[in-house]
Amino acid sequence: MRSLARSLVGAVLALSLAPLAAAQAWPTKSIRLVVNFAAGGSTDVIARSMAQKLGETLGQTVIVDNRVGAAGNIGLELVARSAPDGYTLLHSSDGPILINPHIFKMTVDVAKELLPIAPTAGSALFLVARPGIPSGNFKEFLAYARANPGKLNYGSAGSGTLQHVAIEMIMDVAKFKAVHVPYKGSQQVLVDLLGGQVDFTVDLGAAIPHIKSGKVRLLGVPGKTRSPIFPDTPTLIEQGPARRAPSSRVSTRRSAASCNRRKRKRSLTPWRRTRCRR
Amino acid sequence: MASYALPPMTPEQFAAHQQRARDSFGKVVREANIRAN
Repeated sequence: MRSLARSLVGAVLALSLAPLAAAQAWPTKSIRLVVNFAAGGSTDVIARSMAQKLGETLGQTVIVDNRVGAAGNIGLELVARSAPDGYTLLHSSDGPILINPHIFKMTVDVAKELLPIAPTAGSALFLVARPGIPSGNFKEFLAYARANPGKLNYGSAGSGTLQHVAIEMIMDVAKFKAVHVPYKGSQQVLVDLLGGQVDFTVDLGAAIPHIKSGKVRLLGVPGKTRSPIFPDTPTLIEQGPARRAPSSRVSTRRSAASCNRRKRKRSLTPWRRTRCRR
Repeated sequence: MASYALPPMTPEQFAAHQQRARDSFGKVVREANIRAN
């Protein structure tokens, strides 16, 4: 985590200080690290661990500020609208950054108004099925799903969530169809998977103890590499024909200067001017 | 939670990676007609 903090500091410095170098040092005050998901979740836990090391490295306090709501859009939009001075950073999972712009009407342009700094951590995904499904691996599952088109269902934490899109990606590549059952959160999906109401899902780690106890069947690991937790379980790519498969990561970004004319008139710091020229 | 460290990337590499991923997710969202709740 310390090396991560160091590389993050380097990245922030590269982005923040170059245009400001002649003006002032950074940081001269505490930094606000906005997390767009609730305290206790994986994005928050990583942010808090990172904030402590980052603060020690920088000699300034890094304050984690959870701004929850609208599938992560509340915190994201807050950072995008903040001053682009390096004192307000966003720690987000991929979903709000990469998926939300395609399914929500957002008030900011994520690609233009948030400047990526660095990826901080990846979260393993697990393709899991209820034990009653007659397949012990992805190959067998695929044969079963293709032989029973539309009969299987899968649960997700909601429409447009990473879980939902990840499974759609897997189905698209592996050429099979299943019925989507959207829930309000991933924990409820797991409960119904254990109860047999849901046939399969992509899990972000909560199912690990149930996989180990045999209550849930691990079919494969999306992503390019095997999980160190289940090293004997092949990836979906290894089991084919999923040539590509999603993985999840969380990342840090900061607000970028908006280059639209209205904002440029309102405030033009040297940093903002430099960014707008890019 | 099953998190792991990621290899370091420059901000430019990260931005390019994110844009590719955003495009890829966008394609899936459109093809599967995924909508918000």
